Amino acid sequence: MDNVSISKANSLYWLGRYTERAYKLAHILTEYYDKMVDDDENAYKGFCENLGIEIKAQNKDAFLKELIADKDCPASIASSLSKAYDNSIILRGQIDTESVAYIQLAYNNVTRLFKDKCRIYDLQSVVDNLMSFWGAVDDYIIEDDIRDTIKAGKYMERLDLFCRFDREMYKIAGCQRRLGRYVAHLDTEKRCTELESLFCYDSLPDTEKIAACVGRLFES
Amino acid sequence: MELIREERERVNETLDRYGVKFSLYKNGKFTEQLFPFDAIPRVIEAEAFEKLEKGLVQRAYALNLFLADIYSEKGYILRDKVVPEEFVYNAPGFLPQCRGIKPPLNIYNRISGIDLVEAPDDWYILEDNLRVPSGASYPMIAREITRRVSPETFEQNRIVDNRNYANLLSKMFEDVNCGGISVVLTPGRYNSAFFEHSYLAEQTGAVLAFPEDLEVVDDVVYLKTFNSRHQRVGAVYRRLSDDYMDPMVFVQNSVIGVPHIMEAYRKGNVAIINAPGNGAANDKGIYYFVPAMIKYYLGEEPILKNAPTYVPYYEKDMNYIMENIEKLVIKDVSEAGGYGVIFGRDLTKEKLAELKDIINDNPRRFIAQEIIEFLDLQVLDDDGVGTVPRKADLRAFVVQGKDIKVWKSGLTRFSRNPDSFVVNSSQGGGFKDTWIMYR
Repeated sequence: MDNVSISKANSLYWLGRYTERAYKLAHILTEYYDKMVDDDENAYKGFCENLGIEIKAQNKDAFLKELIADKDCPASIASSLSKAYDNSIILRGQIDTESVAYIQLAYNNVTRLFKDKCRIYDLQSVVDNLMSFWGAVDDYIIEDDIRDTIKAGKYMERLDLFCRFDREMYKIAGCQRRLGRYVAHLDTEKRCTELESLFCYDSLPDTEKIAACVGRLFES
Repeated sequence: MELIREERERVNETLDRYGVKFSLYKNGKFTEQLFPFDAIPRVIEAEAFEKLEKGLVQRAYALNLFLADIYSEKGYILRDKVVPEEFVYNAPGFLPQCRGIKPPLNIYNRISGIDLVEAPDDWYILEDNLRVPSGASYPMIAREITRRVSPETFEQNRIVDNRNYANLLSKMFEDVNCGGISVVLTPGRYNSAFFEHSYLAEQTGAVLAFPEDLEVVDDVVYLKTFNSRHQRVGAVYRRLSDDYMDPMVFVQNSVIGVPHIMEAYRKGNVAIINAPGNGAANDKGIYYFVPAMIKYYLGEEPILKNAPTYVPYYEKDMNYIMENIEKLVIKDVSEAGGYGVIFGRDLTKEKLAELKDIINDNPRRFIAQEIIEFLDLQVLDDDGVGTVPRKADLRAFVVQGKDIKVWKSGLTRFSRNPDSFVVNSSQGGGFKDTWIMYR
């Protein structure tokens, strides 16, 4: 990354994290909404506990609206996409205007489709935009290090969410392996030597320590 | 043109998709909004543009000679009293710190944004923007999108392709580069023209840099990179104003500047685009003297006209202003962006009297101009079915590297308010593409 400043590298990493947060939350929200439909209308409380957040909503529809479209709710998809957008627009030169456009489209869809009605089905178009973004990342970005930085952010975020939502160990292990691979490509100065020792394949790893370790790569 | 009109919705959707926006601070709150685009272009025939082109080159060339003159020790134009010294030295944009600095190729205004209006009889120059003229990215991306949405329009009309603006810029970056990479220096994500900064960086292949990304070591500018191999910077297309560029030289508490960049510039180790201090020629008071500059430096008659202007500094002009204030437009020379513009006809008798007193007390602060009844352009109405007439101007861009080129397009801005002459985006204006036709 000869012409990528430290602040831009940091933005690439956080672009990956926020985009993945929006993408995975769309899936997790869909699961929780499904639980609330017929057997547990308070399931959203478990969702909030896992994320360590407090929300205003008191029922499933309000919950859905707040977690999808309320930009002021820091855990919402709209908030993640807004932050992803803020990072993406300073990276046109690295990721191409076409990639930035998919983040813009996802954000536009969240704010438009959920303005009046809140139907879980409409999340599909947001997920489609984000899948397109990841396709654009693979297609338009020429420099491997730039792509690896975004993907380090993506798998850091996925690891964190998988651990919070108690996903299967093989999925958590997979995230760690991919994160380790991307960081190894980037870490030419050996700033994160202890990363491997923080990974854990038979119980939940300490994601806070892992995130702090990876974050050191992007400190000046 | 009908075809583009029919595709209006798709054009706007696509502009939205690409985030073609500008930002505003209103009541202390940051908002980002789409820059309203009107699908009906301004069309300039080849012959008319040829005259504009010659006039713009002449003007930009003379303004550069003026800047080189006043920042040198000679100051011939001041010595010969073609421009009064106090107009230059009292201009807020004149920076004594820049005296004696010779920019690469001795070019100060590498990008000139010259605002014109078309009246029934001719084109008139309204303003020269030589500091950080903005707006070229909007017609660039609009053309890209309209060509995609309505290719038939471009098949059926002989329109000069305007998508070469980035090439003009990057060629100029190369011409003036002092060794190293070229960067577009933005003050930050929340700047009103951030879309343009990031888009032009991408299109020119320059690196978009934030002030904290740059540092000066031994009078050389470097980009601090992720892999610790700092890159030397040879050209900085800065999109922040002079005052904030270097806290060691200008505003000391600027947090968006690059400390010591002026020293690197003085030593000839980096090109700064546009040159600091250009505000001296940008001044609305100096505008009055541009025709005289053209005659003085080039020995030519100005090809393009200034709007008839009066400077209260001269007694004759002051008398005229006092007698005719209700039919003039008064401009505060220190304001920009459509602010500080007062139409005498809009004021009550009491307010006119107050304004006269202020002008009398501060003759150097104002200029007065005849109101040019410039031509209306047709703009699609809100339903997109009919059209309405609106006032519009044209910002033409002149780029000077080893060659001097006028971009064969420009930013046409229009007022969305039927009663207004103010077209600035910060005051709610919209924009159109500008088509220059082949012969």
